[in-house]
Amino acid sequence: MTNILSRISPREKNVLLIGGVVLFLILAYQLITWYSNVRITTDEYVGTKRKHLEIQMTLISEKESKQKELEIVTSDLNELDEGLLSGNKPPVAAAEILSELKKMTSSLDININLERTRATVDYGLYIGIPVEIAFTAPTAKLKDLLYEIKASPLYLTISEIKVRVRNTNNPVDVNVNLIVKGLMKKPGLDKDKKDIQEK
Amino acid sequence: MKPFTGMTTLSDRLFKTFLGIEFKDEVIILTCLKNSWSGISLLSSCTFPLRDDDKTIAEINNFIAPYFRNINNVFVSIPENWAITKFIEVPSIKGKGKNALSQMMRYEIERHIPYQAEDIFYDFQIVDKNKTTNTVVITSVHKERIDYVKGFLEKISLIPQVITLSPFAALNFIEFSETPVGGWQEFLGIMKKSRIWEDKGNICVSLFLDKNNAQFSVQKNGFCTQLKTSVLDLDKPVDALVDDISSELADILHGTPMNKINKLVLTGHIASLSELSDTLSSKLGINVQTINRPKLFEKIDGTEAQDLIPSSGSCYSGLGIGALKINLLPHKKRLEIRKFGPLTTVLSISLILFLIIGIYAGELVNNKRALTKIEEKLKKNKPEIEAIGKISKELNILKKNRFFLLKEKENDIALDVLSELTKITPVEVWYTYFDYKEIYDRGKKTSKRELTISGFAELSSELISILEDSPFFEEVQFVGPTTKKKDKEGFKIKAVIVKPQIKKEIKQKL
Repeated sequence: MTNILSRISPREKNVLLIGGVVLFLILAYQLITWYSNVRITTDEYVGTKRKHLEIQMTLISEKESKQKELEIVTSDLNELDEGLLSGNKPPVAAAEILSELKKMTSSLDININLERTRATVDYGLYIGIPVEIAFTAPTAKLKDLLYEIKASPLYLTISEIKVRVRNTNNPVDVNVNLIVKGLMKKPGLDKDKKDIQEK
Repeated sequence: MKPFTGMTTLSDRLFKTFLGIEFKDEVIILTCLKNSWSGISLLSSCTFPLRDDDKTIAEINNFIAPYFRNINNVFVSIPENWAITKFIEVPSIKGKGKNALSQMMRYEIERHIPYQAEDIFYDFQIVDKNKTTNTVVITSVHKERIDYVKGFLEKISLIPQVITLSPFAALNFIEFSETPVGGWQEFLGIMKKSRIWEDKGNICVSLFLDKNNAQFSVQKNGFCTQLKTSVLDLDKPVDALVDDISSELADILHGTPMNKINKLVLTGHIASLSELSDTLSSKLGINVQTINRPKLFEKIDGTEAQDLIPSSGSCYSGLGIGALKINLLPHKKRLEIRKFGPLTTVLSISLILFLIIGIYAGELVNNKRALTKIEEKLKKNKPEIEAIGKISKELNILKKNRFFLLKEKENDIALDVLSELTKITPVEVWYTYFDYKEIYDRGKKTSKRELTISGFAELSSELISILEDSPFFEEVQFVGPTTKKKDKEGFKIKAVIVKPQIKKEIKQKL
């Protein structure tokens, strides 16, 4: 090596030196670029993972409160479910509504002259069971019946009411067509709820 | 002071103080140098008569007293006339082993000196190499001279580590007279090489004028290949002096024409150095470089500084600075210095590179470790997160159910509508027909409620505004023509039913 160096002129040495420095700078630049790219990628990846972990930790810290909330909501639902119709099928549920309405009308001395089940309404989670009744009664009794329906422990709501004065010259009795709607669970929902409670 | 082995190391030199002593026939010159971080610098110097009487010894002791404790090495130069110096050509010893030259010199020395080999100290150095021969400078001095020097120094409690010839010491000094030496550059091994003897293959001549002695030396490839000391009358006119120098030069060059001299380096104790330089240049037609004030002596008077060149140069020789490494004291190895500098640099650079790589690689490794830890935690949390996900999903379904049921109860407002209608209807108005209807939109999953009423009123249009003012009704309008019956108007009105709260919110927005 010393012999080779001693054979070359100072000018050639300078060229070699400059070449070496340029080569070193190119290599250093490449290395720095590679390193900074690797660093940025790693930092971003670590940052994303860290954020993911933070979210996880937040969720874990909320687990207890979520469980408590689940218990409260389940308990609320259990209470609310008491107002639902107990039948598993729409005709049975409709019969339950009619039976309830008949109890109310008979206690108010109202004679039902028409009763029929209307088409069910699908609310997704629940099914609305509408039942139509028709009767003739004084307005005061109608009012009492409406109050009783509202006060019923079942979720009975009035979805339609038609009142026509029977005799305009003597407006005491009115012809009433009343559609009362109750709610029942969709078949299968009970099973799901039980599963949830078990979990 | 520790015994000298013949080889100086970096630790022997950096941050150390050195004493250079030049023995002359009548005087002794002491120069104290220090190698600090910034380089070698002059501490002090003094000239004493060469006498070993008590007074002189006491004066020398007084001079060295402030530095005595710190003096690490003592380097001595002796006059050329105390020694015999020869430049001889010997066959090349390439491939004949390390000690071949030493053995050869042991035989050669007796051929060139009038003494027995046992009576002298000698040293030699190859100064020029050819394919078949080597030029070797061999210097010998009688043991009595060395004993005298040692004895003299013993009186001032000094032990010399190197004894060299003053011309060699001066040449070493001149070589590095314009280049900073020692210090951090030496530590890092990046000390500049001297360019004073120019490039390869060129002949340079050094002329060192010391009082009336003119010391000529021919430099080839950076080494002294000829040495001659002549007596010159420096008080002569410059032109005459140049003629004397010219003839001496012709003698030392052995017929080599003057124009072959690349450069003449002129140094010396002479007031008219610049004038002499110009005259030499013009008369001989050669390039003359004058060293008026060497870097080491920048702070002292120029002519005074020239006296200190051999004594300072002896320190350079002792420290291995300069091409000539003659040491007349018995020693084992050549003076070696440069190997440690580059080694220090290589080690330092390697360490720095290692640290830099370590720092950056460490960051990556730390990131990798952090990532591994995070991933482990994520993996560990996964089952729990899945369970929480299920709970959240179930909770959402249950909340939706609860909301639906609560809303259904709230939305049952038929009785409230009837009550409101009874309350707001004027006494003179009476209804014959009442139709409340809830229409469920399956697509939007919303319910809309409508009310249709018909009956009789004195002024049915008033009823519209009354109903419109109610929080339960909006979009109130006639859906049939009003008919006159006696003093009453028959009407049929339709309205959209809203929950009072919703209507209030809409009004506020408007």
